[in-house]
Amino acid sequence: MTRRGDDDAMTRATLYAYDEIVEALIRGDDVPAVHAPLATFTREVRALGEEPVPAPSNELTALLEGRPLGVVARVTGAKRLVRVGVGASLTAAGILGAGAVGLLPAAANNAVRGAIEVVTPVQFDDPQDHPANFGDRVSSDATGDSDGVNGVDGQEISDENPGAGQRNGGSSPDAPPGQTGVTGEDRAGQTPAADAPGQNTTDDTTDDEDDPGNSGQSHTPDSTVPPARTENSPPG
Amino acid sequence: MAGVERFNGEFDAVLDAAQSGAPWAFERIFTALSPVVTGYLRVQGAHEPEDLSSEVFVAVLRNIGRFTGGEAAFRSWVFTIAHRRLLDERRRHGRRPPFTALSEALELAGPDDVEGAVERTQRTEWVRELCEQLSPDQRDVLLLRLLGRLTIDEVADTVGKSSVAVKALQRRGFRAIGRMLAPEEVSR
Repeated sequence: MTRRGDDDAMTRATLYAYDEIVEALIRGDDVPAVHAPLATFTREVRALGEEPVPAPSNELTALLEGRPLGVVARVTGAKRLVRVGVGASLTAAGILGAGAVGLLPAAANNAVRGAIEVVTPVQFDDPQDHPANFGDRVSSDATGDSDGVNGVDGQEISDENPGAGQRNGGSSPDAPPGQTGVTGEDRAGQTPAADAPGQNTTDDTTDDEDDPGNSGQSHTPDSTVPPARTENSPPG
Repeated sequence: MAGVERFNGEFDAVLDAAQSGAPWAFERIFTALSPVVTGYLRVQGAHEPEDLSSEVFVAVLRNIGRFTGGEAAFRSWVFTIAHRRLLDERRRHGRRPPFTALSEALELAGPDDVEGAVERTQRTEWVRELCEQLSPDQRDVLLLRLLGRLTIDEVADTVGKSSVAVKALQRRGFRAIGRMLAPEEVSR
């Protein structure tokens, strides 16, 4: 640490000479050998500015590509994964960004979108799922193009499926072996609880949103997208 | 000043294009100046230098329409924004965070540039250890002059001090560094 008194010990001429040395060091000019350590220091500091181009954030990537902000969500927690997994070069970021907006050929686009979805929580909507296109696509099964029969299949069960030997016509496919056609409702009277007076067999708690068993269905994880930050007004 | 120009004499054309919203010009600006801005933020102990650098360039590109001047002035403008962002980040975090661990730097570097990452990390640690022994004002002045290549007057504008004060801080900072290195056998 230096003290203000350092300058007091230097004459004006010495100060001037030292300032000249400092300016030469900053310019990168040669200096007397006695200042070689300082020359090394200044050289090393300048070299810090020659590091690789850093990976831009999603927000910056959008700007660099001339896209309006907000097209790509900024997911801070995923940025590092993107850097490690996909690479830190601007080119890579550009390809990712281009893929994100569908500028690449279809095959490359799908690959990039897949890569982003693998390493980040970002999910890309299928462009064909845009609300304006809703209903445009109809399953070939539903139209009958696939099998000549209109309507969605699934009502019939192949005889090649496991458990086919246990099934009879009209029985539930979920019926356990040996009790074909007998459901739990049919056997309700066989349970000990059936004899208890005043018991309501309807379970009203299953619709309770606070039921721990339903907790995973009614809540979504908190968003990882941070709030937008206010920009500084630049000088000049 | 050697090494200052990063646009191969085409700065005016790049600036015009950027102010017209040309993405290639944005990329040119980012590619030219982000390494030195990130290096400045890193040696200043920024929490996440790459993220902060992105914030700086978002601000630069959003406000580039308001900029007038040449390349040196533009560089000074960018570093002023970087310095303010750094101060904002320090306020957010309360204090300077620990320096990025070597293992983390290697992780971020990827497998193709491990040697370069090690060298950069060692260099940064050496510079940072020296700079940490300076007063914050001295450190700001030296780094803005050496990395930002700002003039005395530009540094004065950036840190909000007089040119005389900046020159004195610069002198004391260099003398302090000189004393730190004097007993050391420099073999770099």
